[in-house]
Amino acid sequence: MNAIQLRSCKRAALLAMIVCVSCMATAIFAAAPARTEPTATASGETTRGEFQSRAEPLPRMPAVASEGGCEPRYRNGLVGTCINHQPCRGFGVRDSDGGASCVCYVKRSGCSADERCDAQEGQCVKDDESEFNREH
Amino acid sequence: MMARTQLCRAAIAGTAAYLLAGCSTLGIVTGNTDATASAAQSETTATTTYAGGKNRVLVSFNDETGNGANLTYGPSTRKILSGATLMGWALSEDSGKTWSYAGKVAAPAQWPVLWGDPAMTTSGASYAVAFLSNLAIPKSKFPSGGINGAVTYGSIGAYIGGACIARSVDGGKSFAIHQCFGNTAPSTNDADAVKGHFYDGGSMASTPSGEVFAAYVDVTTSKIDVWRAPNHNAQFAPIADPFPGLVAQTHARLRASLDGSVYAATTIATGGGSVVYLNRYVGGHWGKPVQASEFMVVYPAVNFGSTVAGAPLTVRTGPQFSFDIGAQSEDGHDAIRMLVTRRSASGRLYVEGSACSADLSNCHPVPQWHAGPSSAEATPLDVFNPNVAAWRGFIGLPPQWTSSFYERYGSSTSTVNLGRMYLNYLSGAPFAIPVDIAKKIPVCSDQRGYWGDYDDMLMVGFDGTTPAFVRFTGTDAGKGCSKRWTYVSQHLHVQSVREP
Repeated sequence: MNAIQLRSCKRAALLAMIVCVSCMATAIFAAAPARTEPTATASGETTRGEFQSRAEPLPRMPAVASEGGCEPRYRNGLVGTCINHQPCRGFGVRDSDGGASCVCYVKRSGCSADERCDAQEGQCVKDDESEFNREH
Repeated sequence: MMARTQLCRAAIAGTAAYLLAGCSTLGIVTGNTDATASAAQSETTATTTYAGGKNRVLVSFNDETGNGANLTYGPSTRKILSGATLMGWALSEDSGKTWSYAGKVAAPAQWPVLWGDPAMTTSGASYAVAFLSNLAIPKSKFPSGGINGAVTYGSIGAYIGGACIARSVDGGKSFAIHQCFGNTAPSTNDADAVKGHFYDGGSMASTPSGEVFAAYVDVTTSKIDVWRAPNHNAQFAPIADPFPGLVAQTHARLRASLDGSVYAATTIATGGGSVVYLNRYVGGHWGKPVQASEFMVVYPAVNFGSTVAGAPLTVRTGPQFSFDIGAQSEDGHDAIRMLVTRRSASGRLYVEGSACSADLSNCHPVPQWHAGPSSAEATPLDVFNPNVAAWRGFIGLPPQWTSSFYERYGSSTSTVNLGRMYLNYLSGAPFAIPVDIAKKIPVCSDQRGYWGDYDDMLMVGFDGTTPAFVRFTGTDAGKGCSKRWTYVSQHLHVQSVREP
C-alpha cells in the first residue's frame, strides 16, 4: 500500500518537473522564500534575525511544603498542595519577599479550577483530559 | 501571467520535492513473526555500532514482550510486579532494511522494575561499546504488593527513583546492566525523594574520546540532571546543572560534537510561555544557557476526531523539539539546527526551525524551515513530533540535514502520515519542502493517548554515496487496532522508514 502511494507521489512530482522545464529560469529565483538577511554586528560578525520574543526565564524558586490539609484532589487520584491554607493546583514556592505562593510552571497562581498541575508534563492540563497519568 | 507564475512555482516545488525525495522503504521492527507480536513495543531510541566486522543499527523501545505475570492488564487496570522490564531492543545488520528482535535486559535485584523511556548511544572511542538507559524503580520505593495502576502518587511522588544503564561490548548483540543511579537529595516537595527523585525521559551522547553522558528531567526539582562517565568503562557521576536557576519543563536532549563538546537542550518555563534553551559542555564546564527557539507547545495532545476500538482517538506527545549538530552553511551560525512544534492562532500545530552557531553565540529563528498548515483551512491539520538528523559530509560528499515529523490529515482520521524535510538553503536563503515518506500509518493509542511519546531518527550508513536515514514510528504491523484499554493497546509495534 505504502509503496504504491509513494510511486504515485513520485509520478506527480515527475509531472511537475516536466511542467517546470517550460518555466523561465528566473522563476526559480522568484519562487525562493524571502531571505532573512544577515546583519552586521559591532564586532563585524554577521547575525540573522532575532526571535520574535526574547523570553525571560522564570526563576527557580525554593519549594514550600504543602501543609494545612486543604490539598485539592484531582480526578486522576493525585493531589495538589495546600499553600497559605488555600488549595493550590500547583506547587508552593518561596517568593523573593519571603512569602509563599502557588505556581504551576509558567502559570502563576497555579492552574484554574478545571485543571491540574501535571509535574510530569510541566504544565497545567485539563483535569478531565485523562483520568490517568502520562507515565508509560 | 499570475496563473503561469503559480504553475511554475508549484512545478518548482514539485521538482524540488522529486529531486529531494528518495525511495522510502518500510521495515517491520517488531510485531511480525517473533515473540513480540503478542505484546506492545513503542517509543524508540537508536544508535549504530561496529563490531566483529559487522555494522549494526540498534533500536530500543518500551518493550512489554515476555513480562508474563510481572506486567498484567485489565480494561482499566495494570499490575506491575518485581521483575517487570521494558528494556528490550532489536537490531539490523543491513543498515536498517530488515530487523531481528534481540531480547531484553533483566531488572537487577536492587532496582526491581526497568520502566522504559529508552535512550541509547555508542562510545565515540569504540564503536563496539553501546549504552542503553531506562527509567527504573528502586527496591526502596517498590511496594511489597506491587504497583496497581499509575506509577505516580501524591502531588509529585513517583515509584520511579532513577535510571539504569546497560552496556554492550559486542556491538549490541548483548547488553548487561552497567550501573543504576538516582538523585537522593531531600526535597521539600516529596518526602520520598531521599529514596530517589522522580526521573523522566532519557537522552544519551558520547564524545569522540569516549566520555558518555546521560540526562533526565528531575521532575522532583524541575532540573535536568546530567550524569557523566569519563570513559566507556567508568561509572557515571552527576555533573553540574546545565540550566542553573531555570525551570525545566520537559525531557532533555543531548548531542555530542566531533570537537568533544556536548549540548543539552530542554524546554524552559518563561514569563511568556515555553522555549527551548541550549547549553554547551566544553572543557569540563557548562557555558551560559541561551534561548534557541520561539515560543512552543509543551506535550500537546492531538485529537483525531474519530473513534477507534470503542474509544475516542487521541495521541499524547513527547518533547516537541529536536536538534542536531552538523556542517554549517557559508553564512555560518547554523551548525546547530532545530525544529520545535508551535501552535497557530487557529489552534493548529506546526513545526518551525531555528539555528545556532556551534559556540551558541548566535541563535536565531529560521521560519522558512516550516511544515504545517498555512491557514485554518489548510491541510495537514497538525504537524508534530519533530526529529532533526545531520550527516556532516565527507570529501566530495555534501553534508545533509534532514528532519521528520507526524502529520494529521483530515478532521476525522485514525492515521498519521510521516513527513520529511531537508533543512537547506536555496540561493543563500533558508529553504525547505515537506515531503510525505510514509502515509496512513494506523494510530492505536491506549485510552491515555499513549502511542509511544517519542521516536528516534538517525543516519545509518550509505547506499552507494547517498547517506541513508531511518526514522522509527508506531505501527499495527498489519494486525489492526483491536483493543484500546486504559493502560495498553493492541496492536502496537515498531516499524522503520528508511530513505533511500
